[in-house]
Amino acid sequence: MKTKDATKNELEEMLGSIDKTLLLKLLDALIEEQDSK
Amino acid sequence: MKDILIVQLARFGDILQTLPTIQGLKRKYPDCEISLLVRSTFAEAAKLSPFVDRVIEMPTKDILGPYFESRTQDSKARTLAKLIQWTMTDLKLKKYDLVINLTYSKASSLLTQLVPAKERRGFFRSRDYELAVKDPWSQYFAAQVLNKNLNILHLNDLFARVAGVEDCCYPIQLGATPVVRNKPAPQREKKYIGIQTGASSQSKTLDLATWKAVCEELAASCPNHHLVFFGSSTEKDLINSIIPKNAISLAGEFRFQENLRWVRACEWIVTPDTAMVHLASLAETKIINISLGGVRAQETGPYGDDHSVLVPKSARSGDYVDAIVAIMQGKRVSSKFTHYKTVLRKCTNDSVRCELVIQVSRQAAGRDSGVDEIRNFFEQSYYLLSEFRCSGRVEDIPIPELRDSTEKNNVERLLHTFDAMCALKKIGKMGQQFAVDLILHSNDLRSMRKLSKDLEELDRLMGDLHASCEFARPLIDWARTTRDLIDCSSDAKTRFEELAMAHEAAYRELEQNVDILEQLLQTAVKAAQNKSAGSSKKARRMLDAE
Repeated sequence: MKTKDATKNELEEMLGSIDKTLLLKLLDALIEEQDSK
Repeated sequence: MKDILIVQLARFGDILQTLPTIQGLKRKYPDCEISLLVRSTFAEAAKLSPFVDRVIEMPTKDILGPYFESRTQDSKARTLAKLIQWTMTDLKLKKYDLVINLTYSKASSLLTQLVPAKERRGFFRSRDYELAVKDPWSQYFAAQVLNKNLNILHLNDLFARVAGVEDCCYPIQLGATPVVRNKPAPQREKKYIGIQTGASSQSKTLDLATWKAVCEELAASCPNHHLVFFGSSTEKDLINSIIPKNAISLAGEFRFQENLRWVRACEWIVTPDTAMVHLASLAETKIINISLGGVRAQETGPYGDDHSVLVPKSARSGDYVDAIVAIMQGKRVSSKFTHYKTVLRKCTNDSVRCELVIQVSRQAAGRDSGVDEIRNFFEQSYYLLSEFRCSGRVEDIPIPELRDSTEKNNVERLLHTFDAMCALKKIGKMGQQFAVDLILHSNDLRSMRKLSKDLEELDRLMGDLHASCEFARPLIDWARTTRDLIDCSSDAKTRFEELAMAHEAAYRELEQNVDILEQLLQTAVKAAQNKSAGSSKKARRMLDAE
C-alpha cells in the first residue's frame, strides 16, 4: 500500500495497538529537531 | 538475551563510537541478534562492524519531506502517514529483549518508547510521556555529559558501560576493508599523512588560509611522506584550492566507510573534531586532533593509545606545523598549545578506558606541569564516584594528588567547594526527611503544601550552589536527574508516592556522594600538607571502608 493512497481507516487499521499519542509526539519532536538544524 | 535494538540517530561519528559497544554485546551474548537503528544519511558507518545483524534505516528527510514543503496541517497529516508506514514496514515493532538508546535526544526517547521491549536503557518516556531514564550510567550521561560537567569518560567507554559490556569492547574488530575498483589505491611502499580539513561547523576547524599554510609547510617538512586529503564531494573545490603539489585528493572519491583502506595506509591523520577521528581510532592509525570550538576531546576525541590532541592557546598559522612535526618526531610541543596524549588505562574488571593526559610543554619542561590540580582532583574523584555508584565497582587508582593545595588561590577554591559540599549534605538530609514526611502526611493537605514548599526551597538553594560552585555542580545535576527523570505511573496516587520516593532516594544518594567526596578531599589535602606517604594511599581501600 502506498502512503499517498492510505485512507484514514487504513491508517487506523495499520496502527492497531500502537500508542497514537506517542506517535504524534514523535512526529512533533522530529519536526522540532529538523527545525533547529 | 536474544533480540537487542540499539538506537543511534546521531551522525557518522556517534555511530562509530557505538560500534565497540555492539561488539561487546555480541561477545557477551553470542547468540543474540543485534539491530542498529540509524538515520539513512549515516547508515554507511554501520557497515563497518561485522557484529551488526540488521541495520534499520530511518529516512528522516523522506518522512518529513511533505511537511517541510508547505508546513500546513494537510502536509503534516501526510508526513504522519509516512511515519506510520515506516514504523510498520521498516521498524516493524517486534518485541525486543533490550532496547538501548544511545542518542539522548527528545525524538529518540519517544522512538525508544514506541518499540515494545522487556528492558530499556538510555532516554525513554514514562507512562505519562515525560522524559525518563532508569539505568545509572544513562543517568550519569544525562547529568554530566549533557550538562558539560567534569566527565573524563570517553563516550566509547560510557556507551559500553550503559550496555554493561565494557570488558568485551577492546581491541575493536572491523569487517573486511572495502575495496573500490577504478579508484585511487594506496601503494605499499609509500608513506602517507592523511589530512581532513572539513568539519560539521566552521568553528570546529581552521580557516582555509591557515590550512593552506599548514599543508604547504607540512609537505616541505615531511618530504618522504605524501599528503592525502579526505573529504566529501562538496569539499572538493576547497581542497583543490589548498592542496600542495604531489598531494593526493580523495575528496568525493569514496563513500564514508570506503575511506578505511586509505586511513589504514596513513601513518598519521591530522584532523579537527570530525567522524575521521573515530574512523582513524577504529583503524588504529595515529591521530593528531586539532581540537577547536569548545569540543570536549575527553569525550569525543581520539580513542586508543598515544594519539595527540592539540588545543591552541595563542597559536598562529605557523605554530601548527611546528607542533604537528614535533609530535611526529616525539618531541615536546610549544606552550602555544595545550597538548594531550591519549592513554588506555586498565580497570579492575580487565576492561580498558581511554583518558587524556596533559603533556608538559617545551618551555615548561622541568618546571610546573601546567595542570590545574584542583580541577584534576575533582575530575578523577568524580570518575571514582561514578564507577562506584553506577557499576558498584571500586577502581584501584591513587587518590588524586593536590600537590600545590597550599597555594592561596587553590586554598580558596577548595574551601569554597568544601563549604558548598557541607551545605549540600544538609540539603540531602533535609530533602530525605521532607520526602518521607510527604508520604506520611499524604492525607493532610496543609502539611503537604508546606512540605512541597520546603522541597522547592531546597531546590532553589541547590540552584544557588549550582551557579556559584563549579566543582559541586556534578553532584547537584546528578541528584536532580535521578529525582526528576523517573518512570512514573499515570495513576495520580501511585504517581505521588513514586515521586516522593524518588525525592527521598535522590537526596539520600546526594548525602552519600558528598560523604565520599569529602573523604577523598580530606585525604588528599592531608597528604598534600604532610607530603607524607598518604598521597599514595589507594582510593580502593578508602571506598571499601565506605
